[in-house]
Amino acid sequence: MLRRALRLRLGPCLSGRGLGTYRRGSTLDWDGKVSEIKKKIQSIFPGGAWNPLYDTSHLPPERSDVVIVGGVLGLSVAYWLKRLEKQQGAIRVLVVERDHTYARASTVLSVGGIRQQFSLPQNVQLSLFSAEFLRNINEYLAVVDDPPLDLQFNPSGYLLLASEEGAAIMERNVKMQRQEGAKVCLMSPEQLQKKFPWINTEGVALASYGLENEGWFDPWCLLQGLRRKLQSMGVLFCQGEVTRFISSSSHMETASGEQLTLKRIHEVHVKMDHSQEFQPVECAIVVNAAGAWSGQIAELAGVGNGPPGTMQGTKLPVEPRKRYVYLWHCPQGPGLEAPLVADPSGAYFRREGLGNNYVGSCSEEEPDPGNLEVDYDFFQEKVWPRLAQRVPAFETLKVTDR
Amino acid sequence: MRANEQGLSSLEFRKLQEVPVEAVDASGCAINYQGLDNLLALKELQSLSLRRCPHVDDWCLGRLYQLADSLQELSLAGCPRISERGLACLHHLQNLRRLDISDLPAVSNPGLTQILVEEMLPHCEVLGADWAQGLKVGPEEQSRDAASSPIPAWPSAPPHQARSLPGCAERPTAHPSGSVGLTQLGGSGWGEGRRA
Repeated sequence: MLRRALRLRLGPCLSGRGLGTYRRGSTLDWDGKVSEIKKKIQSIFPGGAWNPLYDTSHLPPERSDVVIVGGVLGLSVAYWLKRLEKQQGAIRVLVVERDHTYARASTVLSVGGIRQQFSLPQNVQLSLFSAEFLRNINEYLAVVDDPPLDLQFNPSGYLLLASEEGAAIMERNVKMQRQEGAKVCLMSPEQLQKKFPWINTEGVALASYGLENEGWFDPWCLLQGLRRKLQSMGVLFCQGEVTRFISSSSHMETASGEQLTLKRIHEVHVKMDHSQEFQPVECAIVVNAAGAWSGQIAELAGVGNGPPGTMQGTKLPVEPRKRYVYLWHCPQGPGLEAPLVADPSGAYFRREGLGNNYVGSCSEEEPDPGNLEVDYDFFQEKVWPRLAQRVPAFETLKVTDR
Repeated sequence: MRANEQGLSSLEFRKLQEVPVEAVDASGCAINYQGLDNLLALKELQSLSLRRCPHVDDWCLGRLYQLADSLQELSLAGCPRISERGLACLHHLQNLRRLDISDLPAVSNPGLTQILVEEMLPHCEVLGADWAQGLKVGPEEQSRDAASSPIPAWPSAPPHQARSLPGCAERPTAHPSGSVGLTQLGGSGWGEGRRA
């Protein structure tokens, strides 16, 4: 009713366009008048982002404390922000994701593995925590009246193989991992052959095998679980693309008297899909969790604009890399006990399901991360020979998908 | 050997502190991932029964490798949260001689899982799902028995679904619940006797 009253008063000149779009040639300073009226109305009817003139429900809110850009890690940051806030509703969080179906996201296209076998102690600690999180996922992400999550976790472990050159590093790493609390054991080639008779141990000097908290699971399930929980916690979601950051700079002086320019982002422009419409979102903090595309987001924020060689001049060194993953069938292949095996040449594979199917690939650089087309020749030339050398049963296999 | 009214155990109990525990029957207990710490500390444990434990899941099975040296008998029958993915970690238990994996509702394909577990643990006797579960009637056997069977025959399966496992003889065999012919696993010596 109020809407109709406004329409009558403001007359037929009112168009339906959003306040955020650029209008040319208006002699009446319409935008200014409209925003004045809006401010007046909002002072009469306080509370919430309510726009009397048109429907903005598809746009993100105008104000948010934290804007997070990204996939599963972004959702995880949002989750912990809301978990750890001092008062319920104290932090308003907005998650901006370019693709709601996550068709191009690294998360759902990955093989879904979790391991503690890293070379940095911090990574080992993070991964141990993640394993505990995944184990108790239905306590962390419980939503009233919703069914529990089934991550389909395979606790089969990772088996990393090292050649003569890598053996010393592997031994050092395993020692560090065990100090951090990871359950990893080292195996000699003889022990390896005894444990997994289907492996060809030629060229392997040492192997490290994760005994607990390692394996693979369904990342899509984790993603959906996080989304569901976040929606129930009051986090706002928006499908759009971050196109611009508006920041303000101020000159500051450090304790030692040096002059610095401190730049702070205070607005994010989120562009809607398939349209030119965008919403400026005022915010205090932006979290860049865009994974492979975080380099691009950082560039938008001006990271890397500066004299080369300085910290300001260094771009965020993250670029998207395309990886192929293949699914094949091999009736005589390794059985139920097969872990995720990673060869020193970079080829890796794991079991998929019960029907003698396997997924795997080779972690080597491929060109053109622009599209997600799969190159089967890559499998024939790079992946299959290495896998067949390591697991003789893979001499006879048949690629089925991807 | 219960504690008396003052809560003190009898002296006999204290004498047994040094005795290694060889068998634990935790059937129906609400033991969980952390609770397993107590069992995994028993390095001489030979027999463990976790039948119908409601909180024992795939993550818990991932911890059992610590008993690999001593464990000979393990029963996981009736645990609602165990799936075939957790059973994959049992391959560490190379001393295992008897394994009971019957009646696991979360296992998607019990017959196939049993075969894969048997291949994984060649020295172990695996009690489990009825291997005939999930198999469909072969078309030629179904038409032969339909004439004599008092029970209506199962819907005929298309020919490509008739399972025949490599290296086994096609022999029609009498099934207790009706006269329907099924292909039999050759050579495992189990036959009718072991129905879990």
